[in-house]
Amino acid sequence: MLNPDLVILVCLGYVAILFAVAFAGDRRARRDPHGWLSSPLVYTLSISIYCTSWTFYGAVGSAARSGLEFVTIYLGPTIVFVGWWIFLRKLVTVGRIYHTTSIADLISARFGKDPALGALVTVIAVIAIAPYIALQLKALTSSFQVITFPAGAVEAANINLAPDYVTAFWVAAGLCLFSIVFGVRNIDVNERHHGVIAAIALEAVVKLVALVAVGIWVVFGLSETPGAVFENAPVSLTDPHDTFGTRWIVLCFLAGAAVICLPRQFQVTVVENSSERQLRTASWLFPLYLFLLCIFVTPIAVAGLNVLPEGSNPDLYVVTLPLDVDRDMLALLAFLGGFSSATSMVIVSSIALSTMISNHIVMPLALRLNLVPVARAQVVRSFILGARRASIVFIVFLGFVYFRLSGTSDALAAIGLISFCGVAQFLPSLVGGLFWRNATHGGALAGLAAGFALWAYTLFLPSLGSAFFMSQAMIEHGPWGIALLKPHALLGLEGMDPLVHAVFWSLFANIALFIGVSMVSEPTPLARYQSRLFVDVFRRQMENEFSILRRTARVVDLRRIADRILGPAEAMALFAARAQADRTTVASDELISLIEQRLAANVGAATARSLVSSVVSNETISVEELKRLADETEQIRAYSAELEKKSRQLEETASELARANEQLREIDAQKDEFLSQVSHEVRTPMTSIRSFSDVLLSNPGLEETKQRRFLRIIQDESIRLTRLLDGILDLNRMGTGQPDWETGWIDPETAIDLAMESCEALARSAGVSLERTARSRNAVVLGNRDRLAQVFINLVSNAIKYNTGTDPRVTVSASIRDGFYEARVRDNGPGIPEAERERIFAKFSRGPTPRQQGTGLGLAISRQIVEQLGGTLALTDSDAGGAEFVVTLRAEKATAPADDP
Amino acid sequence: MNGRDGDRRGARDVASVLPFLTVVLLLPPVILIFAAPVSIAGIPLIILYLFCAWGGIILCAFLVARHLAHIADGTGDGDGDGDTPGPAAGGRR
Repeated sequence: MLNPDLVILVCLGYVAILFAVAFAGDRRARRDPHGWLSSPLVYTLSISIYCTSWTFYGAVGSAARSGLEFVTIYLGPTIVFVGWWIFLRKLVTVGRIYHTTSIADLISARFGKDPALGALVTVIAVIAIAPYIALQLKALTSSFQVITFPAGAVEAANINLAPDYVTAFWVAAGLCLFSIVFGVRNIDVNERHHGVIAAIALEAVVKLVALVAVGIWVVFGLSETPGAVFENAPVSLTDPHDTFGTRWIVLCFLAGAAVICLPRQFQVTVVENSSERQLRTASWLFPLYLFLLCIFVTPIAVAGLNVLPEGSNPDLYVVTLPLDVDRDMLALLAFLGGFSSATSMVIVSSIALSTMISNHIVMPLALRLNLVPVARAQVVRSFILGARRASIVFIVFLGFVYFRLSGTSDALAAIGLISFCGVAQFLPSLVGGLFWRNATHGGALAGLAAGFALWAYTLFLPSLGSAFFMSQAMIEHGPWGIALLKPHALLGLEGMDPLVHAVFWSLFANIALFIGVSMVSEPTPLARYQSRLFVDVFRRQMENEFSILRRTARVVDLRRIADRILGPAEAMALFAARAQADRTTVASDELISLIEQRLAANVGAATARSLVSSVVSNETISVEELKRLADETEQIRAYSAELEKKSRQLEETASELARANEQLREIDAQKDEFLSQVSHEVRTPMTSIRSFSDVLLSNPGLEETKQRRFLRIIQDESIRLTRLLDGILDLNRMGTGQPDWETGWIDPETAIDLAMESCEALARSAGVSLERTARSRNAVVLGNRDRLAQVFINLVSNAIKYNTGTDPRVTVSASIRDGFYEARVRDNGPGIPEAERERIFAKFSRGPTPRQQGTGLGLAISRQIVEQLGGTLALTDSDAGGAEFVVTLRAEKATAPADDP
Repeated sequence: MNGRDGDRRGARDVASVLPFLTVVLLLPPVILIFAAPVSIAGIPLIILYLFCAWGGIILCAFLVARHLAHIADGTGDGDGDGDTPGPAAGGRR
């Protein structure tokens, strides 16, 4: 055991340090508001109040009892923080911009600053959280009792110790004192609680260090080898298949919801946030904190099961394990860790709840019942501060009373998850409010009320045991014996885990009513206005926003309110800047909005609104203007989409034009080339004609034979020239699609025969053997026989001319395939290289080694002719290795009689 | 400008996908694959998987947050992931 005096002394010393840190933090922050107290690290550490004593002691207990289930409590927040970009960022931004003071304030502000909604959220929160605070008090006292038990901690953990209420009372009193001193110095909630946050951050470090220290000691000190840690692990760890059912999913969801909706989490995450930078760091650092906290939980649990005697309370393994082997200092550190987690939770929860109670219950009531003293300015501020302080005492002692009443029963053990389920009822209104424009105040109210009622009926009240409200018979058989109303099997939904059952029913009713009522009800103009501000928080707000809300108020009246709530100094500063410009008695819309905003940062949006409304004589919200603005937003969105589409189309058109331009350039270049080629081709025969005629003219006495030879050359060249020009004309005519020949039904074989005949002489003189192999019978194509013959003559004569093989052979064959007439002219010459295959069809292109000079237009003309007839002329690979030209024409299968036999 | 915009959109996309990835990895049915009675070096497989997946996601979140921070601070182009003059420049004669 540890000496009780020593433990108390250490605790007091620790608390003194906390006070000192909080004090120093407050002072420091006043001098330098953007110092390290606003750093992302401190922000993240403050969020870790999520890990209460329920975590510190309970996680190990849960791991010992039901394996890995405890991890869900940390996976849910991990999902939420890792996904900060989707939800948390918006929530935190809204909170920062609109000076939200609590989750009740945010929900009520979103739905038209409705006091009823704020009050309902506050009531739910208080009812859900008070038992949670009781749980912390219980953890504190029982851990204290166990480590100071005279017969030894292990003995103490084995018997059911009567709770020490005196200790609990003094702990509660101390917590109230701390919260009041550092949490309620100023009524402006947005003026951050730097002192509290600094102390909380220190406590976060202590609890992490304590748990990790125990963990490291268990892994490396207690077991012989680190690998032996999981020896004799319970079945729930070694064969964990049953762990991952519906309950796993529901617990992850609940924990994720709780890390947003718990009032204390909302306080540290949203209200105390000062920049997006903080959240960005917390998005990974907070999950990392949870990760480190969890990593040693299972080893400690397994060690506890193995080392400590059976029946020991697993919830206290963290302290009893070190004590079992007389590691007193380690046990003391572990106790301080638990102490830290419990105290930080109670402190922040009570501060957050006190703000909610004073802003959403006390102030609205006081205003309505005219309880607020109006005599002197200072009195109102002290009234609010008094209300906050009283609320803190009320909440902490509500927890204490709850602890006192539930006493030794196990009712508290499960309260963590029950609380989570209670606050998860805020989630639909919160998410819907931030993302759904048409969510209405009626929907939120109906959803929250139904969810709360079902939560209380199916989970909270039965958990209290038969001591309160519900008798054992009622829990087991339903009220008045109606089985359909059994709290754990509502409407006959039997066989579910009670928690899963309650989560399903409460959230189902909540969401259904929220959506359903929102769809049938109409939002008030103010709610419509607020929804625009909240949902579109990332969109740039327009300047004419003020024109929507038109109010008339006298400056004197506004000043009076500001004096009372904000204090004379701030009121003076606010009015000095504005009112000088216009010394009128009527305040501008802008001034009224500004004052309301500042008031909202102190007493919440709903109370601020009712305060301002009390002096506003005439208020109109221009619904038309509001609709117009919403329309504008929609229109701008539509416009930008349209613009994007248009610009895409323009881009496409531009690239198409560029392509066309490129083609035109190419054609132009081709034309130039063609012209120069034509001139070149014409020039060669012309030169020889001219030179030979010069010779003839200047030498009249030339021999007859020579004269004849020269004249023959001149004639040949003239013929060649004529042929060239004919070819060019042909090409030109066909290029413009006006051939000078008529088409009819012909047998293409006759054209081939004609071509073979005329090429025979050429073949013989070149020593090339010309063969006709397969013929097609009854082929009929639409064409002109002479032109087709011209094509074949060209192909065959080319094949002869360019065939330089040792045993030159040219084969012509024809066939009909799939309705197409195919004629092939094949040679066994060197063939045509791949790269040349398209080029040879160009005008004036000639093969590499011509035996005979041609015009270079033959293939170009042939291709034009075939294409004119609707066919193709192509060069394919020949199996023999030479070149193979294929003429393909559409064949008429019907044996229509050919024009020519 | 375009590349920077794309960069930013990419980082935001990853930031939006990350929570869904977490859900897929740590919730049934995927987690059931690892819920077998198997131990590796004395540690149950499920514990290894759970903490590895969890740690991996935290690492991803860290990288995304750092990237978004660079973009927000306007220093996204200047921290070495742009094209730096390599040794090729020095190899010129």
